[in-house]
Parts: sequence; C-alpha cells; structure tokens
Amino acid sequence: MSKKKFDDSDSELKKRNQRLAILLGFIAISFYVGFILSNIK
Amino acid sequence: MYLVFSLIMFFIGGSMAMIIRAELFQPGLQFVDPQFYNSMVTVHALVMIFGAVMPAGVGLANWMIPIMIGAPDMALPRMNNMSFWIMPFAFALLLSTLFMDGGGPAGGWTMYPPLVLQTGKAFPFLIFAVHFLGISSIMGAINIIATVFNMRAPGMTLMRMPLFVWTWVITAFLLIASLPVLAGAVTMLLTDKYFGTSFFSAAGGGDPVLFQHIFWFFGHPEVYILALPAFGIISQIIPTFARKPLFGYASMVYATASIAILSFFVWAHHMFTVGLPINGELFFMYATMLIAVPTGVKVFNWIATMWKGAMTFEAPMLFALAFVVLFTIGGFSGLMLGITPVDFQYHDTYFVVAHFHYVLLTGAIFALMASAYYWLPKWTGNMYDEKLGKIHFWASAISANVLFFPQHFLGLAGMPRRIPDYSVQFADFNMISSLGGFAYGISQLLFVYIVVKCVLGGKKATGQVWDGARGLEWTLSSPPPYHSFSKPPKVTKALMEY
Amino acid sequence: MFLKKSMIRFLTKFSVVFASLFLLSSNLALAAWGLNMTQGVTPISQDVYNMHMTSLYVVTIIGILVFSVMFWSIFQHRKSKGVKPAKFSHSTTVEIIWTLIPFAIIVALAIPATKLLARMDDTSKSEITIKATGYQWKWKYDYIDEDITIYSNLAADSVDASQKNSGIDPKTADNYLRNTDTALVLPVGKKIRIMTTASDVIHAWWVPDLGWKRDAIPGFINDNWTVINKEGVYRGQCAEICGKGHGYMPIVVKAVPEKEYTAWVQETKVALNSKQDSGDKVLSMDDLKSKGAAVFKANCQACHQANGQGIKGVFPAIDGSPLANLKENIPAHIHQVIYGKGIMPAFGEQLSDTDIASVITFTRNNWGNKTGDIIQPKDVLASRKK
Repeated sequence: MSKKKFDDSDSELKKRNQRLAILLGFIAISFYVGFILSNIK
Repeated sequence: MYLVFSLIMFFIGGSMAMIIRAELFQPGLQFVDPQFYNSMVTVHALVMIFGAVMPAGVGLANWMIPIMIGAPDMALPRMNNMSFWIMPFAFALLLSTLFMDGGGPAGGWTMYPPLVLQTGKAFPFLIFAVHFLGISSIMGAINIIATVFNMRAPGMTLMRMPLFVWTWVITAFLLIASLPVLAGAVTMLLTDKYFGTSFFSAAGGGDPVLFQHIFWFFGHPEVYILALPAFGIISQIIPTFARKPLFGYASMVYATASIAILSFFVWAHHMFTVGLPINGELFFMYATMLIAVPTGVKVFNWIATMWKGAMTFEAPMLFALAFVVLFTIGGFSGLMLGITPVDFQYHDTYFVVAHFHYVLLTGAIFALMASAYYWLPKWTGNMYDEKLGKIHFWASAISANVLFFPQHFLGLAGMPRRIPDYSVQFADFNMISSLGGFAYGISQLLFVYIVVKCVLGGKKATGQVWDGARGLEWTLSSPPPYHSFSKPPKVTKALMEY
Repeated sequence: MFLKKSMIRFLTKFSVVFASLFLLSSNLALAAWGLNMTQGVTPISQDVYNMHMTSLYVVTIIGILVFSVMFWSIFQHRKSKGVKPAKFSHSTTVEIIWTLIPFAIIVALAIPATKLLARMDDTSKSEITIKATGYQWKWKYDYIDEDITIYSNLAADSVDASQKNSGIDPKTADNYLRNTDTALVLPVGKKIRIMTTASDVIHAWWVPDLGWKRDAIPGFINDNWTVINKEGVYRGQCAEICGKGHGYMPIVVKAVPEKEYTAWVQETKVALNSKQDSGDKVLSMDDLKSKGAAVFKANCQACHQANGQGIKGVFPAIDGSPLANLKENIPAHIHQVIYGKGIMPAFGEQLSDTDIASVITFTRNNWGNKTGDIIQPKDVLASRKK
C-alpha cells in the first residue's frame, strides 16, 4: 500500500497516481454523458 | 492561493449580501431594481458556494492533507495548478454578466427552467462558468483521492488518518459522483435554449420538474460537500483544545460515510411542493429524517470529547464550539423542514433561508474561520493576535445570530424568500436582521487585518503551536519546509495519543 | 476559580438565543407579533400547526439537554480549573445508545407526519373546483363549474408605492404588496379543490392560513384541497421565484357564507358578459388614454417600466419604438398585444377589446410617442377574428 520512500522521480508512484486520476476522470465523464443520454427522449 | 482567492470571493459575495440586506432594511424599494435584486440573490449564492466555501475547503485540503498523512506534496501538482487557474477564469465569466445588457442571471442559483431560460446574454456565461467550476472541483477531488490512496506514509493506516483527511476523501467521492450530474443538467439547459431541444419545456413534451430532480440529485450532496470538511476541521480542533483524544473515532468515520451515502437519497426534500406522488414524499421524508441520526452521533461525540477534558478557549476553539451549537440549531430546523406536511408551510420562506445560513454560515464558514486560526501559526510561523481573534469571534457570533435568528420568525409569519420588497408587517424583524448583517460584514474586515498582521510578523510559533495538538503536521517546523516530508515519517500509534 | 469575562458573554448570548426559542414556543399572544406560524382557518392548517409545535418542542428539549451537557463541560472541565484530562476515547455502549435514541425520536415524529400527509393528499369529494394559473406576474382563477374566469393583479396603490424611491410610505397602501384588485371569492364550509398550474414559468400558490403551498408548474396540474371554516380575508404571496415581479403577485382569498358566494357568482357572470359586449363602442382619445394608463400600470409596467423605456437587453422600450410609432405597424402592434411574442404573454385572453384598444392608444400617445393614432375596440375585435 504505502510507499517506503518519496522521490520526485519516483516513476512507479507517478504512474500509479496517473492511472487513478484517469480512472476517476473517466468515471466522472461517463456519469456526465450517461445522465444526458438517459434523458434524451 | 485557493485560500486567498476564496477570501476575495467571500468579500465579493458578502458585499452582494450587504446590498440585499440594505434593500430589505425597510419596506419599499430604495436602492436597486427588482431584476438586479434577483441577480444579487442568484450570484451571491453561486459566489459563496463555488467561490468561497468550496475553494477554501480544497485549499485547506491541498495544504494540510499531504502534511497530515506524511507525504511530500499532492499527488498531481500539474492538475492541481490547472484546477486552481480555471476558477478565476470561471468567476470572471460569471461576474462579467452583471455588467451586460439584461443583467446577470436572476433566476436563483438553482437555475430552474423555464425561468432561467429567460436570462438574457448572461445565460451562456452562466452555464460555462458552472461547467468550468465543476471541472475544477472534480480535478481537485481526483487529486485528493490520489494523494490519500497512494501517498500515505508507512504506518498511516486508513483508520489512523486524521478525521479531516477522512471527511475530505468522502467529500471528494461525493464531488466526483454529483458534479457531472450538474454539468449534465446545465448542458441540457443550454441545448434547450439554443438548439431547440425540449428536455425541460412542457410545450415540447419535456418536463420542467425533471431539471429539479437532476439539480437536487447534485444539490443535496453538494450541501454535504460544503459541510463534511467542516466536520473534519471541528474534529481536529476540539480534541486539541480539550487535550483529550477524539471520542468515538470509528463511529465518526462511519457516521460521515453514512451521511454521504444518505445524501444521495434525500434530494426530493427540496421539492416537496412540486406535487410528487405521496409515496415518494413519504420515502424522502423518512430518508431525510434519518440523516439526523448520524449527524446527531457526531454532535454527541464532539461533546463527549470535551467531557472531562482540560479545555482552553483560544479563537479556533471558540469558533469550533460556536459551530457545534449553531450548526445543531441549523440541524434542528432541518429536521423540522424534513417533515413533509409542515414543509408545505416552511418551504421557500425565510425559515429556509435561516436554516441554510445557520448550516452554511455559522456552520461551514465558522469552521473555516476556526481552521484559519488553528493553522495560521503553522503556515506562517507567527502567532496571530489572540486578543483580536477573540474580538472577531464574539463580533461574528453575536452578529450572525442577530442576522439570522429573526429570519425564522419572518418565515413562520409568511415572508417568502427571494423577494426584493415586503409587506409592512415584516418590517421590524427585517430591520433587526439587516443591522446584524451589516455588523457581521464589518467584523469580517477585522479578520483580514488579523491575517495580514500575522503573515507580516508576530510572536514566533513553535512547531507544536498548540500544546494539545497531535498528528504529523505538528512534528514539522512552522512554517513547514517546501517539500513537507521528503523522507517518509514512521507513523506509530503513540503519535496520536495523549 | 474565576469565570472568564468571555465566558459570561458567551453564556449571555446563548441564553438570549434560547430565550427567544422559548418565546417562540410559548404561543401566548405572540402569534399576533408575527413570531410563529399561523394556526390558520382550516382543519389541515390546524393540524400542520400542531405538528410544527410538536417538532419545535422536541428539538427545543433535545437542544436544552445537549447544550446543558456541553456547557456544564465547558465550565467544569477547563484547564484553568486545574483538571487533568481523562483518557477515554470511546465506549461502544454509549455510542449505540445515542444512535438508537434519536432514531426512536424520529420514528415517533414520522408516524403522525405520515398520517397528516395522507389526509392532505386526499382531494376526493370536493364540491367546488378552482384552477389557479400563475402568469408573470398575476394569478388567473377559473371557477371550473361556473364558467367564471378572473384575473388578480397587485392592487394599484401597492403598485404606486412599490416603485423605486416612490416617496410613498408603504404603510399608507392598503395591505402593502399583499392586496389585489380582485380577490378569489370562496364559500366557507365547503370542500374546495384548488388545482395549480402556470402558463410561463414556475410559480407557487401560497396562503399561509390554508396551511399549505403548492408549486404552479407549466404543463402540470397539481391537486390540492381546503375547507375554510371561518369567514374573512386571507392573504398570501407567490412563493417560487418567477422573475422580477416575484415579490409583486399576491393572493387574496375572501371567504364568505355560501349565500353570499352564490350571489357573487351570479353578479360576476353578468359583469363578465357585459364586458365582452363592449366591442362596438366608440371612445374618445381622452377616455382611451386614461383607461389605457390604468391597464398599462396593471399589466405592462412591470416589464416595460413606467417611463416606457423597458430594461435594456431584456424588455424592449415602447417609447420611440417603430412598432408603437409607425402607422403601418398598427395591425402588428395590436397583434402582438393579443397574441404575445417571445416572453411577452398573450394578453388576448386576459384583457377585453376595450382594454387592449385603450392600452395601445395610450402607448402610442404617451412619453415621446405622439402619433395621434386612436385605436377602437372594433379594431381589436377585427384583429382577433383574423
């Protein structure tokens, strides 16, 4: 879970952060699109 | 930066409130046109919610969460930067509408169609401002979640995190779930106005009430987006000044989570009067009343934390105590409002105005004030002026009550909200309320003076600052170094103990 | 062992707040000062009032208990008294107890609320049906069984006093902002069904003495009912923001004995019929202008303003506009008043031919508009027929 060491060039951590951010962003966008689509009659 | 921005917005929104209270000081129309009055009501709400309270919360999160969990900085600094710089841009859009032909948006911050579709040139500006603010908040939320999930120091288990961090994680999830819904709703408004769709127009087979459902599906979680970080702040401050651990840590976390979950099932209590089927009204009444249970648990836990502590009463503690009392009063009127048949009388009156200002001003904003005093020495390395801080507290607490308590009576006596002028029978309480409003407005200038004074200098603060403070942030020097923890600290149970 | 000055002040403030809560709870004569909810004049409004008082008592008692514990703690467990902080940090039993107690209180409140709500929802067996339609910014009332339609505008003295810096003391206007030109007349003792809807934006119909409010939404018809027990005049206001005239669309209900109500129905029918017959009258310029001024104040002024300038960007100016000045635009002018345009409502169904003719004549011969055109009711009638 938690990292032992912090380093500005810790590429593994950066990657993990990015992956999580993209995932959450994707969830948000799909909520947005989903809501609009579901209300189109 | 977030905090400075939100303070500026607090004063812009506040000056609009001053215009509102000045107009309502006496019956008759003295200063502004009804149309401009309505746009003041609308923009005051948008500025205060999206410009003052939310950025202040995000700002505290950005500053304190990495320090509290033993991380060097937030996980995604570039995204953070973008999320901040969108905001001044969005507010420039929103505030510029006040100077356009036709004036600013004047349909209330809830933007109900069809009324909002009558907005003039300001309409697309309003919609895009809301979009940008939504994007900004979602990016802030993503950043917070990534930081907390990936950057905790060893030993900082989830159930050891300070409650402020917990409340923010839960708030961030609320943001990600609810803001896209708002963005969707305002997009539909936009296409209704300019592209001939009729999501919400009854004439075209749409449904104006649908907007209200969607809006409040966002809107109620939004209330807790404003309130939960405040709960977190109070849960940090009370143990510090009671010199005793927070009572019922686990139940606090569970209560916060259940409030967040319940908040998605109570949206229709804002719309009891639109004519829902009776079963719907009953469901939402029960769900709404249920929220009082976890909220009550929180209040009881705070009081149990004080019980048998050794309390001192510096400015942050005073604001926190006032928060507990006044937020609870707001909660009481909330419970009353939740009772559907009686809500038919309360709805859209000054009783509601009093209710949400108790929750948001003496609730959320008092907590933010408390947090500012609590962490200012940590941020600046200087102590603020305790005497002035106390004066600021008493001035704020007294004037806020003079401002909002009479509004309960006005609402019960039959004064609807959002009216620029009123019948003479409401004159006395409106005058008292306005006087309280002016006093509150003036006393906030003192806060700016105190902050500036503290930034410029003052008694040097130690790293510990408050002798009862526990947690990682107090192990650092004041002010903390640029990268707070370049070597991850080892978090042990003893660190949090008394 | 001394009380800090600040604590004394805190306590004073606290007791002030609570004293006012107590005042609120004791309804002794204080209702007259406008502190508390009205008990109203219907069985439902009485029930709603009782429910309100019950919940108010409940929260006041909880408040007193909780805050006393808190303040006891604040006074006793302070560092200046030399107390050593205790170390306890949780107690599962206590936490379960204070989850269950609020839950029980809530259930106890929810049961009567559910019953009351069911009673309010039952509109069956009503004897009279009224349809209230919200317009920007007036109410239309249709007596469905009687074929009567009336419009209810803000009373003229309130309109005058409510202009910005009018110089008129609002106290001199009769029931300032809560008085109308025509009241909704209803009989006492009958079950009346009131349907609410709207023609443009969302409004809300609210008379506190009846014990409820209900939104009036375009495209929806909401059902409500009431039985008024006591004769009298009951006042209320629109309660949902509906644009700039939101504060200026009052509701007046006049409850009269059944006999008087029947007589009023007959009279009103006769009056409405005679109004429709006015089509072939020919009026003088002065008559048209003076009548038109009154019609303008009641119907047009809220948007187009008393000086005819409108509001830039939202409501167009009439003063100097081609529509109200050029001869060839007379038919278009009449057409627009009758059928509306954009957000301007269609006044054809609300105003008589004479009203429309006079207001058009008035606007074409007022402010800077000096056309000298005279529009007669028959011109309006002709336009309606097209």
